[in-house]
Amino acid sequence: MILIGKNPPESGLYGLVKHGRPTKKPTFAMQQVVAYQWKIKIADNMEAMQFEMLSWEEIKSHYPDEWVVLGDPIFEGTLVLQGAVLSHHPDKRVASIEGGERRKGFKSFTLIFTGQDQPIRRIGLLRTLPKAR
Amino acid sequence: MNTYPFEWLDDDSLVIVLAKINEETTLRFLLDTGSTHTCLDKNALYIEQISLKEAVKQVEIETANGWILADIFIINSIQVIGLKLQNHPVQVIDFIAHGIMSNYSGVLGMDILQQKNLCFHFEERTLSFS
Repeated sequence: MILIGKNPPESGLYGLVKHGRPTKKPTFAMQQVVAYQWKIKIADNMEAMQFEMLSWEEIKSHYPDEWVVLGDPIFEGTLVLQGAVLSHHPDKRVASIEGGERRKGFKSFTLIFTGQDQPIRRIGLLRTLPKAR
Repeated sequence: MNTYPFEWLDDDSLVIVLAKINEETTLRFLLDTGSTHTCLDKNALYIEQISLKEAVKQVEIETANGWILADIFIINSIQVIGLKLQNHPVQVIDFIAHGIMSNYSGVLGMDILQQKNLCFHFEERTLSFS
């Protein structure tokens, strides 16, 4: 027995199905459950709609030299083409925490800096020691 | 033959690939044969809403700046350069706090790289496996 959830508000009226057929008239409580589920879905979509999809060029010009968390980003190779800016801040930690709090309604995310890396020389070394001393 | 793009802009750049964490968050990872293990920036946990309390243990790691402590987290899924690893342990440190200011949020270490024979095609900026 499952709750129909495809086409509100009809789903709320018919409520329960078994093998694709309504089995009995849903109770008021069942209708409330379906309505509540759809309320959450609609609320999530509304939250996602608050964030406009921007191209990478627009993101860089609006938020220069900041860390941004993007929702539903689209990539080409390793480059971001577009995404919805969920959060932005010069501090990577602040951008990440705020971005995490605004995840609702999005399926994928990325974290990226809009500025340029400093042209400095680097040395790589990250070795796990056999055991903590 | 499958090829995977990497970013390498000039002599001052690092080799960057994209990795997907938990099938949701795509992050820039430094491809680093000088790292024994894969490492993730703590900030990625905030985006993925992984509690810092989920760390399973701490390890000591040697970096170019000296020894530091890293937390080990078990990441449900990591997809990178054609590999998909499940329940893989990664070291987590706060990159900014340890002086890593560059535009990447993870380090792809030898624990993952050694799983295939990797071939760099620098002219095309692609990786392939043999």
